[in-house]
Amino acid sequence: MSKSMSKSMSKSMSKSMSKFVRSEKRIEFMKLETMLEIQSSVDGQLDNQRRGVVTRLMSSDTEARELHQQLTAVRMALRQHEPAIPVPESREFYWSQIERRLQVGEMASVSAPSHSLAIWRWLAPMVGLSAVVAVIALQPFASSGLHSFQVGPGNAQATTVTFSSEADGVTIHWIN
Amino acid sequence: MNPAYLLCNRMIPIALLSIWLCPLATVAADLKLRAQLAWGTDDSKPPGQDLKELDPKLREKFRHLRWKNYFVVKSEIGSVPVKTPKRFTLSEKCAVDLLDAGDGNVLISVFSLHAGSPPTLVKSEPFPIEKLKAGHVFAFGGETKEKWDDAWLVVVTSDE
Repeated sequence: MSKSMSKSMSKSMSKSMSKFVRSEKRIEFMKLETMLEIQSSVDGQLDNQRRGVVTRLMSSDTEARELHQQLTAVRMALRQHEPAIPVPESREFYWSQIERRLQVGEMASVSAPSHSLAIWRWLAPMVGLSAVVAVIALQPFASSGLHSFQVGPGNAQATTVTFSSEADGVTIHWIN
Repeated sequence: MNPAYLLCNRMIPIALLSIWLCPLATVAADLKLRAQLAWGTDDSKPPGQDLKELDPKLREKFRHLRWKNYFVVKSEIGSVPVKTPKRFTLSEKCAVDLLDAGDGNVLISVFSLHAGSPPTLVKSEPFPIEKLKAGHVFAFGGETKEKWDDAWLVVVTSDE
């Protein structure tokens, strides 16, 4: 085989390879896009026009139809069997913490306006940290069976979280 | 025999006996309660301090709380008369008032003490006496301001 022949063969091979690779990439890209469209359709995220396109595609493409069925099944399974994990503390509890700390922050900023930024820098992490500490402190209550939680303002300034367990014979008013 | 005379003859001693026993009945009705100030901490007992560990039965009641150790700072027992608050001073900074409200509840009030100024009410809660007598434990709790990550507990139990 002459050198010129081998050169021309390798050129044509590389050309055809590059064509193949480009076309494969385009196909893969198209497939991914189609899959995402089908997923969006299952999630109800498509407008009428795009949903029509997906519906037409499913009527003509078996693979697309199967994917739609699978995604629908997965979605239904997740919706029906996802475990509900209730948070033991109410939303009011978290907000009461934040509100209380903000009030403290406001009082501090009124008394020392020049240091307000420094106070907030210190206070913001403290708000989060205090909430986390309170949750960690009371977290084990959540797994203790018969008990109840109540959140309410104290009759003075204190806000309390009340834990009561008839089974354990204990009632604790936690003052924040 | 005259029935009126008979009635008086029998009823007057009974009435007198009732009047005589009445104060005794009132004394017997006084609640006997124990108030304790406990300190919850992850640290071991500080050396040189005369602190007792919380009673294991009570410790078990607080097993849901996260601290490793609970030490009794002060424990007081007292009779709580009806509608007369009984104060238990548990530390320089903490006192608890117990009041038999006369409606089946005891009113438990925690006060913050400050030198030179009147006590500040922190929180007040009614609690059924029957529950206390049945062994139910009532407690106020909070994080200590003096030491990061420690807790205080004011524990009220029946001592009958």
